[in-house]
Amino acid sequence: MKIQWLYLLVVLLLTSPIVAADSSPSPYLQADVSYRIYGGGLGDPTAPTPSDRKVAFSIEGKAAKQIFDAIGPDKPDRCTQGSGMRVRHKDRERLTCTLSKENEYVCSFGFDLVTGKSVGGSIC
Amino acid sequence: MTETQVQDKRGFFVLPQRYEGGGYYTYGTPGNGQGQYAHPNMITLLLLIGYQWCQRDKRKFGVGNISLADGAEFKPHRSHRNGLQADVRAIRKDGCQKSCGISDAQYDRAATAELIGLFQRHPYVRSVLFNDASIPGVQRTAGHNDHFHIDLR
Repeated sequence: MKIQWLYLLVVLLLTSPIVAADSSPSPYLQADVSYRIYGGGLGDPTAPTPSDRKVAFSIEGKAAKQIFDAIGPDKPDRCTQGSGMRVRHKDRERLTCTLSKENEYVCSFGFDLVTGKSVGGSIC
Repeated sequence: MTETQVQDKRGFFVLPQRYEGGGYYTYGTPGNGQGQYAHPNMITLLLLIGYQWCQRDKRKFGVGNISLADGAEFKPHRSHRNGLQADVRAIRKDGCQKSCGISDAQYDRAATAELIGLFQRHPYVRSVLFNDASIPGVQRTAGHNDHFHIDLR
């Protein structure tokens, strides 16, 4: 009998609106995004060509904060050491997020538009 | 073409562009020196290294992004805000004023190592980021196959 009550309780919890809301993905939201299409290297860009075309994205604001929070913890960064900036990254810095000492969040990533591969969007 | 202001609110000047007899040339995005507002120590260092380099080699080395006017955010850079960082292109064998990666046939490892050595010997220089691990003292980091990044104290 106790097991039946426990089963009923679990079923009620799983089907309650509160639990259901928590397990649902958020809707698509607007984000503050800028981007550049370029050729060559990220730090020395050239005009894109049909055989060399990449895109770099930079996301700021609330979306960047959510990504920053999701990819912790902070990583040491030779580039920004001593500046007060916090840095987090994944996939060999191809996804990088920063939090400045002015409390501004920025996330960067990018793709090679010829191959589709991730190439990163931030550099020292 | 946007006009480049001579001096920004920090009091930083743009690195001299195309001066006669110099050992370096300038490049970068944005162009016309708009991304080359430099701390006085950086200008001093680049003029000195430029002078030393032109005694050794006829090819000029390329100086790229330093900082934007007033230290504005400089996408896609995480640094380059205080005028104390500069990007320098790897030296090409043909001396052309364009980019060259460390796996390109045109990459001149010996000349690039010599140039990096000049920078490393100066007390202003804190670190050099570059992905040619055969060059002593450089630190590897993503995105530095075609230029090295110097950071001053």
